[in-house]
Amino acid sequence: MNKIDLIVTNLKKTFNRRLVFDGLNFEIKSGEKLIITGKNGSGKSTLMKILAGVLTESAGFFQYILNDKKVDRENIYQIVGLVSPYLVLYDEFTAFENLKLFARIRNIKMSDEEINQILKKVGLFDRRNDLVRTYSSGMKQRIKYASAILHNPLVLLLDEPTSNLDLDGKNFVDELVEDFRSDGIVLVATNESQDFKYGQNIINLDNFHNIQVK
Amino acid sequence: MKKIYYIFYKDFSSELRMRFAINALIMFVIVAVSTILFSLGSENAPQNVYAGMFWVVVFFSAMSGLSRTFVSEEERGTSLILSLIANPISIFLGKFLFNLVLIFFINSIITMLYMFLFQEFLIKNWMSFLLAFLLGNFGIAASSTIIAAIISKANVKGTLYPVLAFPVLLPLILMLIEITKSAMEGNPINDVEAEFLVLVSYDVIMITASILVFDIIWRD
Amino acid sequence: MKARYFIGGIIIVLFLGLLFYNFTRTNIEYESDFSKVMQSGKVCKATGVWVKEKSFEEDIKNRTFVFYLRDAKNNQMKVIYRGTKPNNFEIATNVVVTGKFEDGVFHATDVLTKCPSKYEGQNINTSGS
Ligand SMILES: Nc1ncnc2c1ncn2[C@@H]1O[C@H](COP(=O)(O)OP(=O)(O)OP(=O)(O)O)[C@@H](O)[C@H]1O
Ligand SMILES: [Mg+2]
Repeated sequence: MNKIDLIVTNLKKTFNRRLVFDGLNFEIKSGEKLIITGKNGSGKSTLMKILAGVLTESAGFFQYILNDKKVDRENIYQIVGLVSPYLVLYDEFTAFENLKLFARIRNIKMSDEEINQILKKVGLFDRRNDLVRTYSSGMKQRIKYASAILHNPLVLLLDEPTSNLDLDGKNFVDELVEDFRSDGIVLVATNESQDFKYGQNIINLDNFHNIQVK
Repeated sequence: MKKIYYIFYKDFSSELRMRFAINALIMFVIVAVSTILFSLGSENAPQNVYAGMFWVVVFFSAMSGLSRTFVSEEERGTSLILSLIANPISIFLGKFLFNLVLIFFINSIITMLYMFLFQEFLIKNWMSFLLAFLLGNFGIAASSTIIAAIISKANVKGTLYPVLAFPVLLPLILMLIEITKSAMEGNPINDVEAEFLVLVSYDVIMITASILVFDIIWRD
Repeated sequence: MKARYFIGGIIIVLFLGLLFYNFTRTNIEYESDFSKVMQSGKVCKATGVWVKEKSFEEDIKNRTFVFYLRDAKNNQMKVIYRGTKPNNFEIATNVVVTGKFEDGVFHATDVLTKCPSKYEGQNINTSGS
């Protein structure tokens, strides 16, 4: 049983001169789930990328604390899994090859059997040897889930989690969030009211938009 | 170490399927070498001209091929997944390894073409030439990789590469030409000791600086 | 993290010093005093005037070109160039040879001729023919 906390203090992001959000403060502890909402362009996806460690904030800071130790910026990738619309996998490889490659690059030992298990979970086992290029958008969404849970992350960042998914796919996401490891944290960025059930608390980014106008 | 190898392995298998870089590279080499061959006709240019022409072809083929590593990730939108599965240093070193293999491959082809097509391209001190070949390829791969990372994040991509690459690679190319000339004249390696020390320093500086600045470039 | 930048910085500064030091050593120096050229035996660019009285030998088959140069102090040395006679060699006011002095001869890898201005050059040419 691990203990993971995320602390966000006065976080600010601007693109060139455009302010996306400012003065963002919140804290999540092990086992908690949070919904992020806001209008189109309010910065939900931007926040997810920052928290995944792939985009730098403009000011303020955020920190993951794993078992009372700060997680280095460079090692965030080991504890987070991200699913989002702008995530693109290597479409010249098959689903199986993608996952196998990710496991190897992450340097985690995984047998082919374990990889097939994950493919079964997301419902792609039958198509595992087809190139990702030939996938439908819903299937692409499913393979993103597979890549996000491959390394059994503590932090799950879901941006528009149910986009392109059919009923069966939505049920999978319901189960995933519901049964997510009890010591982990889940952040869901969405505008779909049906997704609000995934978390206890809601942060609306519209409230952090105009803060700087003084 | 394993991570670096598997990032290299990913690019390598991807290259085998997609041929992002290798086709452009081989085409360029064929066009450049045959242009030189035809324009020379039966005339024999002085030996040292061949040393210059050799590295000029290497330089431009490096520019046309080695930038693909990062640009293709960025264009296809896959840099996000890459940064989600590995830390920046492994990514840089994996890409560097790939470019290193690529430049060794293409440079060996260029060397063989030159030896086969131009009788004047006669290396008398192979020790000297091979050492320059090794250190030169290392330096070209290191600087091309970091420059490719920079332009993949910029908006003007294609045109920016030669502009950035030229001043960075110029001292390297100059040294390589001097050493190659000396190797063609059969001079002992000691004669170009200073040039070799410049090469070694250049390689060390390039790789160290790249590792230090890469994560800043990579995360925007 | 901080330590990495520190160590990296030191490595870069050290090798930058090494690079610049050696870069200055690579530039081949001009030398107009032949006694120094003959003594040092290092690669240099020797500048002098062609000794017309001793003429030159040209071996087109083996592509060698042999001639004598003299400096301001009238030191003379034999130059062997592996190549063909440069154009305008006869009318050059000054000759620069790159190479080194070995076994009593200067082995040149490059011969550069400095000509009088175009107009003057033509004059000499026409009067010569
Ligand atoms: N790379 C970028 N360069 C410049 N501006 C950007 C960039 N990425 C995002 N933005 C801007 O940042 C703002 C927030 O974008 P973001 O994608 O985070 O919004 P969002 O809340 O996810 O919107 P949506 O509900 O449409 O998904 C937008 O105004 C967008 O134009
Ligand atoms: Mg979004």
